[in-house]
This record gives sequence, structure tokens and C-alpha cells, in this order.
Amino acid sequence: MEAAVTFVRLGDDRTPSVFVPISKPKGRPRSEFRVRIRSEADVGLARRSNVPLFLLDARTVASLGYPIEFPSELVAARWLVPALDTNFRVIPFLSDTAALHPRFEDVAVAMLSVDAIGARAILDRNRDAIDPVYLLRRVVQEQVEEKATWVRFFDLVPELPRVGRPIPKAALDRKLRNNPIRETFG
Amino acid sequence: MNPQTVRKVAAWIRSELRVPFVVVGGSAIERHVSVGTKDVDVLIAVGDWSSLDSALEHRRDATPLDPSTGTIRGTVLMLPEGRVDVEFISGQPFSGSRPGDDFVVYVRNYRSSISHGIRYADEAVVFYMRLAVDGWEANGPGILRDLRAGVPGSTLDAAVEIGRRFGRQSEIRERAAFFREKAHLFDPRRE
Repeated sequence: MEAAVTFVRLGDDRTPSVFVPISKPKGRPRSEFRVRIRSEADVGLARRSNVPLFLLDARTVASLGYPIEFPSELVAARWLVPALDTNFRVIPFLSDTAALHPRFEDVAVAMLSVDAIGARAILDRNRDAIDPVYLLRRVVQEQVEEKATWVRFFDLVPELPRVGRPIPKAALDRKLRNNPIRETFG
Repeated sequence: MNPQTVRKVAAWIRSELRVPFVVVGGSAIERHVSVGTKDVDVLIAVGDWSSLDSALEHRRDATPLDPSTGTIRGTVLMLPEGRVDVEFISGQPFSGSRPGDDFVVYVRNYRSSISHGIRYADEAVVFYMRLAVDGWEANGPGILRDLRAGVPGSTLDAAVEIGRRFGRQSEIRERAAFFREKAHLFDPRRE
């Protein structure tokens, strides 16, 4: 036996196209749905229905100060993953609030799975807006302390538990310099 | 950068380089809300590049323009309080379907104001310029920072209006919508 996650329709509201009915034996009503995400537009539709997920894409990361190309990935609440039908790689989040209402610290936490230097760059380049308590809680909650230690999140949040070895400060600075912010009009 | 330093830089451009200009970029925003910009950006007419090159060629207090060509070229000015990066930007990339200097004329006549004898662009002009360039996403930190610091979200709508004037409404609207949507990344909501 295993637990299954499905969505059910409440009332007679029109069902957005990202909700795909799960096939049922003939004659039985189709009342359970999975979430099918194939494109950025699907992500928008799902988010409008309060499905806890967001797209981690190069444009968002660039807008936070780290220009990089990478295939978009889907960040989704972990409980939702079994109900997802997607061709994006999925990064599961334990916090469904963070998946539904991500802050830039959450983007940084997700980026640890894609490009850890990028995660650190996002924090550095929005340093004035960091909420250290929120960042600390999110790193611990998502159990990414080792990756966070590697790129020295503790420089920004000294209370962060250190797990594993950090990259030397000089090497990190060099890597960050290799991907400078490219603002045209600061 | 504090507004006094911006005023010093502006006074230097006016007295030493002698070209008409409008302060744009974060320095223009800084007049209204503190955003921590690190350089001074000024908008000039296309025809003023050669005067600028000549004026900066052999100075002791500033470097020659770099790169040697282009629509955005910078100098480093040595002031008693330290080095200041000054970027000169000519208007043609922002004029869209209209002649090269139309954008500069428009900003001077309708979208700027004078304070302490210096002409500053409106916030909407700054946002439009950030949204209008190739690689506009890279201007995200500035736009998101300014929105966070208190620049009204309606400034994005005003930037779209400027885009309409220069035949770039649809792309500017799409880019403005992107940043409007990303503003939630700095929403103070907590778990």
C-alpha cells in the first residue's frame, strides 16, 4: 500500500487546464486530478489556483543579480510531488508556504541544488534585504546545511550550523568575480 | 551615494566638460528615496560624444572614456572623497522607432525636473531605460531594490507609457509585468 496525492474539485467551478483527470473505470465519475506542468504558463495557472510551486528559471535568477543559463526547474511542496506530471526537474520544498509565496531567500535555497555559487551570489547581491532569521530557518528546514556551508552562508548568518567543509573565502570571491553583476543603470 | 556627491559630479560635468546632461539611473531615484546607488549615470545627446572625448582626453582628475565607442561609456572621476564611476549614456537605444535624440529631448522637456540647478530624470524614465536595454533582466536588482525602497509600483506603468511613445509598448509592458510579478520575492510575508 502507498499513500496517493490527488486533487478533488469542490463545487462546479471551471477546472484550470493544468488539472488533468485521473482515469477511472468506465462509468465512474472523474473527480480526482493530477497537476500537469509542461510550460511557464502552466506554472502561472497552477499558482493562481494556489498550488504550492514556482519556476526557478534563468530570468528570475538574473533579475536577482546572477546572470546564468540553466534549464528551468520546478520548485514544489514535497507533498505535492506525487501528484505532479511534469517534464521539469523538481526541487522539493518541505515548506509549502515557501513554495507558494517564495521570497528571494527561498530562491537562494532552491539555487543551492542548481548552482551553489549562484545561491551565494543572490544573497550577496541583495544583501540589504536579507532576513537572517528567515534564511536560517529555511536552510535548516530544507536540510541544506552542507551546501549552505560550502558556499559560506555563515558569512551572512553566523548562527547557521556548519556541516562539512566551506570553500576558502578567496576561492569564493574569485568565483563571484567571474560572474559579475551586469546592471546597466544601477 | 549621497546626493551631495551626485551634485558635485554634476557640477563638475557642467563646468569642466560643458555638455548638457540629465542625471538618470539610481542617482535620479536617490533624490526621492535612499537606494544606495554606487555610480552616477547621465544621459547626453548623440552629438556630444566628440566634445566629451576631447574634454576628458588629458585630464588629471578623470580617466578617458571607456570603451572608446558605444552608447554607454564611462570615466572614473577622482573627488577628494574618493573615486566615482560616471557613466555617460546617449539616447538612441531608447528612441525606438523615432530619431536618435528624440528620447533625450523628450526627457528634457517632459520627464525631468531641476533641483539645485541639476536636471534629474523622473523615476519612470529610469525604469524605462532599465527595461528597454538588451539584457534587461540584469537590471532586476536595481528595479527590485527601488521598489523595495519605496518607489511606487505605478512607476512601472509610467515606464510602459514612455515605451508607447517610442513604439516599444508591448515589450516594455511584458518586462514590467515580469518585475511586478517578482516583487513578491521581497514581500515581508513570513511563514
